[in-house]
Amino acid sequence: MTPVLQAKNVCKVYDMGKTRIVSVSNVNLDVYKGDFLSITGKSGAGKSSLMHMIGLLDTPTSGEIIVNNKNTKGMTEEELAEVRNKEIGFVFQDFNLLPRSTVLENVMLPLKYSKQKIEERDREELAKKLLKQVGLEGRLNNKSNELSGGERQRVAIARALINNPSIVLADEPTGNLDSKTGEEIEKMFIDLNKKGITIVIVTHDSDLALIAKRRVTLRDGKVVNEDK
Amino acid sequence: MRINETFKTSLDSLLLNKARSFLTMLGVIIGVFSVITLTSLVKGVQNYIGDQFKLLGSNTVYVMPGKVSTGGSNSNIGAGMMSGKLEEKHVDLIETYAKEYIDAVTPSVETGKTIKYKTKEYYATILGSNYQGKDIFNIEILYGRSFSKLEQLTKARVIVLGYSVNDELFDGQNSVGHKVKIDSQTYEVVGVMAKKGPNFDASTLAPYTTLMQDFNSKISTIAIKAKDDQDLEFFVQQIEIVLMKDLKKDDFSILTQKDFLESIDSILSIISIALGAIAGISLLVGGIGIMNIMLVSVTERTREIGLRKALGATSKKIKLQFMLEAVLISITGGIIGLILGWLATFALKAFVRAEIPVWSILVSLGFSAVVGVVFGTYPAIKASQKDPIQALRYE
Repeated sequence: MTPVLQAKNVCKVYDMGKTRIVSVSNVNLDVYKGDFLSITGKSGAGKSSLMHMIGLLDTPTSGEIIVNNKNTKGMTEEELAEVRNKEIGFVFQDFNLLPRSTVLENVMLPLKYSKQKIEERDREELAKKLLKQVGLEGRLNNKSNELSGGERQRVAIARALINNPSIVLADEPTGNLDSKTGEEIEKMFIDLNKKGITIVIVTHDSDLALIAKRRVTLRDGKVVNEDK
Repeated sequence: MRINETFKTSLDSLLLNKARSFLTMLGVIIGVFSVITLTSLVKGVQNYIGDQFKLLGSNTVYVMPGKVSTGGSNSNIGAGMMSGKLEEKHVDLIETYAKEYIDAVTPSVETGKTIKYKTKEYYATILGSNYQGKDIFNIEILYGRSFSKLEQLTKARVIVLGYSVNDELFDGQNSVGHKVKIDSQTYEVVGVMAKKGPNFDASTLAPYTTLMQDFNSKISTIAIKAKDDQDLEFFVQQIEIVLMKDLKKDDFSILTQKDFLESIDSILSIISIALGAIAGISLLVGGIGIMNIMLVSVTERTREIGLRKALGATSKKIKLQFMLEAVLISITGGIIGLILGWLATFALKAFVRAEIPVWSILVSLGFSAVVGVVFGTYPAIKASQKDPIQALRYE
């Protein structure tokens, strides 16, 4: 089976004047369709740098990121944006919703940048369907700043799913939530994975990491452990 | 994202902050409003002066003292008036030697005086002419008559009141036979002019001989009405030849109505451009306001920019979105300013025949669009260059 996402010998080095900081060092990672992977590690282990690279928000200093058989090395900004839009759904720690836009508008946002031509009505239908799936069918026209933290994260999950991406990439998705709400979100990820959605969670929270089927631990930018 | 989507996104962003968007466009509104209103006002003044000159008739020419040039940027009408070389003998010369070409000729003296009737007062221009003045200046008489040759020769204190003067002093009633006071002298009203135009309505006509005697006035102009169907250029040449018998070429100038209109047009065109340019500066200030607010907006919306990039927006699309916001602000401001300027012009029409010159509409709207593009570019570039990772972390 071909992985939906591959990191091949990925390195990230930051040049800070005279100092060179190696944030990620020779990481190899294969994520297959239907995978539920967590990337854990302490602060400074290189989790965020790795996440940014596999999310195509940053480019590796060396190595390759291959998404759905497409090698992203040497891609233009425009091509990277297109792959990001089509293949990756982001869920952030602090939700990153447009505060004064409605729930529905927030969920439809990635479709605005999609190359696929989808009619406005169809977009709404799709967004409504996803919002129903995350239990927010009654809050469609609320502004996102009128929602609770848990609700906001559910909107973000619906937004991450709207382009039917190959991978959902979640960065500390429960980091800003109380434990009860955090558990609800964890359950939502488990359910989504059961439906066949590929999920990669980046977290320092070992409890959250435990819900994943595969766990990769980073230390000093290197993979030190991989549990299956 | 298609252009209409980007447009909608930009519009939505502006509508989310209605008060701020409006205040940002205020500079452009004021700029365009000023350009439109000031240029239409100048156009109104231009029309007003033109109308006044047209009332004098197109076959009347004016001899003025000194060298007066008209047209272009060298107009100096008025400069020659100071030299005062014209005398009654020059009127006689014209009457004697150019008789076959002229219909009527009059020296003209002018002074500003307060006319009193009982407790009422009116500050009017007192125009002095000979008995032919009424015909030369195309004055219609409403009540009474104009003064006679005898009254002119005997320096009689008689006066023909302008329509507004009579209206003010005698409540519009027939004032013929009444006495009015100018300084310490008493003048008898012999006639009242019919309504003609604000300039004439606020004037009075008296024998120039009387004015020269009572107020020590000097001849400022000689007005000559050419016979009908006369070639004006030829006519001017004949008058010039006659006057050269006593005067040097540089001692006088002969101006036609066309010369006056051209001269005034050229002066007012310069004023119009100057006022437009001053008002244009406020457009520029408006543009700086747009840039300022757009820069604040870019900083405030750093996370939004990061998010949009993460979700698939390219730098180009972000740039276009912010550019469109700036252009929308400036063009909307321009349109509002234009509407307000149009309303102001409408109001000005109560006083002068104001009209909006087409060039001022094109220049102000074009300029406001350019302002949007120019001052929106830098914030848009700043927005587009934001690194998505840094932007998403921005607090």
